[in-house]
Amino acid sequence: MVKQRHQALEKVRELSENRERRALELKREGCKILGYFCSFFPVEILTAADILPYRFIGDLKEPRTEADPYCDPSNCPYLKSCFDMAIKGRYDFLDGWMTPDACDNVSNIYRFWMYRLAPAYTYWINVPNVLDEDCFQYFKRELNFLKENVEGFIQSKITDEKLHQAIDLHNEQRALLRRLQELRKPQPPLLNGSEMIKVLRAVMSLPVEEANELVRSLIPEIEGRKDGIPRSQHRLLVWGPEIDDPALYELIEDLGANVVADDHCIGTRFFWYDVEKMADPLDGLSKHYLGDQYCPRIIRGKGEGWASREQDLKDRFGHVTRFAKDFSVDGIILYIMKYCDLHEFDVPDIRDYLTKQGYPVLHVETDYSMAAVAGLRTRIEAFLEMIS
Amino acid sequence: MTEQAKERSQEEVMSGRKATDMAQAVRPLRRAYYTRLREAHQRGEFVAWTMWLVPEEIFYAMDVLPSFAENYGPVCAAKQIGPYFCEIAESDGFSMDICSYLRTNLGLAKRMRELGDFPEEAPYGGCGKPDMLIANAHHCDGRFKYLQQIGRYLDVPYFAYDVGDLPYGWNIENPAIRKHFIDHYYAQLKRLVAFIEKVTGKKLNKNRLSEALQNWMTVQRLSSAQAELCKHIPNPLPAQDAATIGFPNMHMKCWPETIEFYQKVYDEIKYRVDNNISNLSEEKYRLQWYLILPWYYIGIYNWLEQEFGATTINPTYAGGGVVPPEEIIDYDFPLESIARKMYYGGGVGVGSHRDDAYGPKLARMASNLVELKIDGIIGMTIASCRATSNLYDTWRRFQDGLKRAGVSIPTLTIEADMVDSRTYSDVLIKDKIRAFMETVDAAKGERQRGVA
Repeated sequence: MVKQRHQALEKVRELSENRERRALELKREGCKILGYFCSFFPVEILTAADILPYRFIGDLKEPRTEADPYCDPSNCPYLKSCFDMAIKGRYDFLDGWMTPDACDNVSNIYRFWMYRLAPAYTYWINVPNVLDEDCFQYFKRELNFLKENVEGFIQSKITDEKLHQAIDLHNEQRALLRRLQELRKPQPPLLNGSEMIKVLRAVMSLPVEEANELVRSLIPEIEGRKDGIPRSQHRLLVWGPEIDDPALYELIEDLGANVVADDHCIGTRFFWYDVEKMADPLDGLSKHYLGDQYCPRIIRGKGEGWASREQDLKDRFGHVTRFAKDFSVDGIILYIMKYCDLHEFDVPDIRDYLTKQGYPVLHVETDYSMAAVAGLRTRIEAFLEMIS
Repeated sequence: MTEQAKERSQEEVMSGRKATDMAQAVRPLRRAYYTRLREAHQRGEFVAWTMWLVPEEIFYAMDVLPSFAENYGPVCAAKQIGPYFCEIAESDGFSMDICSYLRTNLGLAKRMRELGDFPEEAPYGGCGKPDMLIANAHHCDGRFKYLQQIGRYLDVPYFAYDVGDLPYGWNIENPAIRKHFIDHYYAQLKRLVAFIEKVTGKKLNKNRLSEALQNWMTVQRLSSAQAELCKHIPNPLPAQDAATIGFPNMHMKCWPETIEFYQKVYDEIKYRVDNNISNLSEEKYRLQWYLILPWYYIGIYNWLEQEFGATTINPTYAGGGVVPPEEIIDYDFPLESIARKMYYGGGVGVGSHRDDAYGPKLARMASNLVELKIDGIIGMTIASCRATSNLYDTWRRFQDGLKRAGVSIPTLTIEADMVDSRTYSDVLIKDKIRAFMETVDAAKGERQRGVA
């Protein structure tokens, strides 16, 4: 095997492991940085305000020694991890943070965080659960309130021109990430799952132009890769909520399989669809962030009942089987974080839907910790044997 | 004792011996309601499976009977059959971490699919075969997801409408913000009406809607007045009664019978207040139960009375809630008024759950504890209820508020579920409570000596 030096990939690894590093440098240069949760958050508005949008990510390896005593046992473990990091000062470089109305767990953590840490600046944006025309208009007004609030924060106007530019930049990022994702189609894939997660962790910590440059330099490096991923018998897709640490994918790779596709909050949900360019940029943002996120919190089909049960299931999960087909997947893991009600409710439906389409499915429900990931080894091993 | 008497006695232990006449009057009312649900189609009525915080006025005006998971779940729990239905849902892949109200109804629906009807074990012959499933995400995510999942078992039209919450730090009186929410609620309510019209083939009758709104407001005023009375010492409405008396408020809020019922409740509580009647000759301790209770063992409140001479107040079920300002209600435009009512927290509560009123709300509750001479607070940490998975933060805020007032009131967390009695360990929990009551006694002694 030819040993190649992958400069861009090494940079990705370093940024993924030290996500705060670049943010701290930018902070010292006077850049404002705001943390955010969730793929529903409109990062373009922050970029247009020359603010670095910094996606919150937990630390699987850090015991939640500060957050666990403060929170209920039944709060989302990923959010508790982020909260734990904040209590320990690892997010002190942020000028504040924002979140969409993602779920009940975010609602709880928001409260705890406000009381325990009293951040200087926070913002909460409502996101509807339904896709009718009124909801798109309502959400557009919410985006406008957010924009006005950020303008107050930076003491400057965010023009439509700046918003259009931000949309272009983030769309470019999405396109670059989709190109990178395409490199997981070959057998074996040119980029494995754990590497893709590291790319996304890095990208979500950088200003959009820098992130785009990084991915732009990474693509030819991966395309020209000769020291490729070992050929594996099995190609998997992972479905679930926040899977922001490479540990799960590394475990799967260690067992000889590859994760070649995904549908989760840090994965393709973040970059698979572009914001449509519309005369009013807020229309495009509303349409994208509400309509293009295939998260279980969105009731598809306009919430007016479905034409048929089959159509509803297709609306909700059809994209997963499209990914599975396009990426030649032969097994799917439903990786569910404990207390994630939105995904937990969907498990029986998606399990049955995928099974009917002929895909073997493994459902695991787990915590957010290294011990939890390690505990899955035997189950995943057995699953891989089963699908052999 | 005969077998029947033993069974009744055991049932009384679990579902609680009631002190008030009106709490005992709920049983036939509940039975009648579930009968009505069962026979709805014979009377040309429709049944909607839904959850709390929907605008009941619309249902009333359109001859739709709501069937609430948050009520049928507790009914199943009280009949000691909650875990049975929960396990059925779990056998189909639903997590044990999902709300047990909803797991119960999912398990019930699965059995309905298997049998083509309600199973024999369903209390009251079931909760009405649904003609529609009406969902919104107000208060918790489970609401719209659960009804979506009912579609696995029952081929019934599903409808979801959106409700946003006033976010933290927003000024409720800002005209732009008010318009933003009220316009949204009104548009969503119109969608809801259109959907029900489509399913039922009936048009919304504006006069009936106006009548329903008037009834709703009357019940809400009575409920609010009742809550004020319940601040009286000694406790006129112990928690076991409060838990039961809330039934018509949820299921039948707009009905004329409900007004009559709550007028009688008010009258009885007023009588008890005026004559200092409590079901304890001496209230040695006054406890507050915070939020949800174990519906399979409401008798825990009787046990607290017998074991410690402790009366328990449960403000969540003792009435209350916001009475919307009268000036926002125009009975000639009832649908618009309902949208405005939603904004001002009229039972539905923009800001009831996720706004920055949460902090001041808890601060008010903390000062109420002093006013009500509460000696200790007990709350359940419920793994399956995400909306209330904030108990420890709540305790911290209470304690911080009480410290500022120079008062010490102990809090106790018990781990159990509201419907799934598999999580409830009687021995462990009662041991915990016994130890807690020693702390309560010590803290009370210190307060009386002026030490804390």
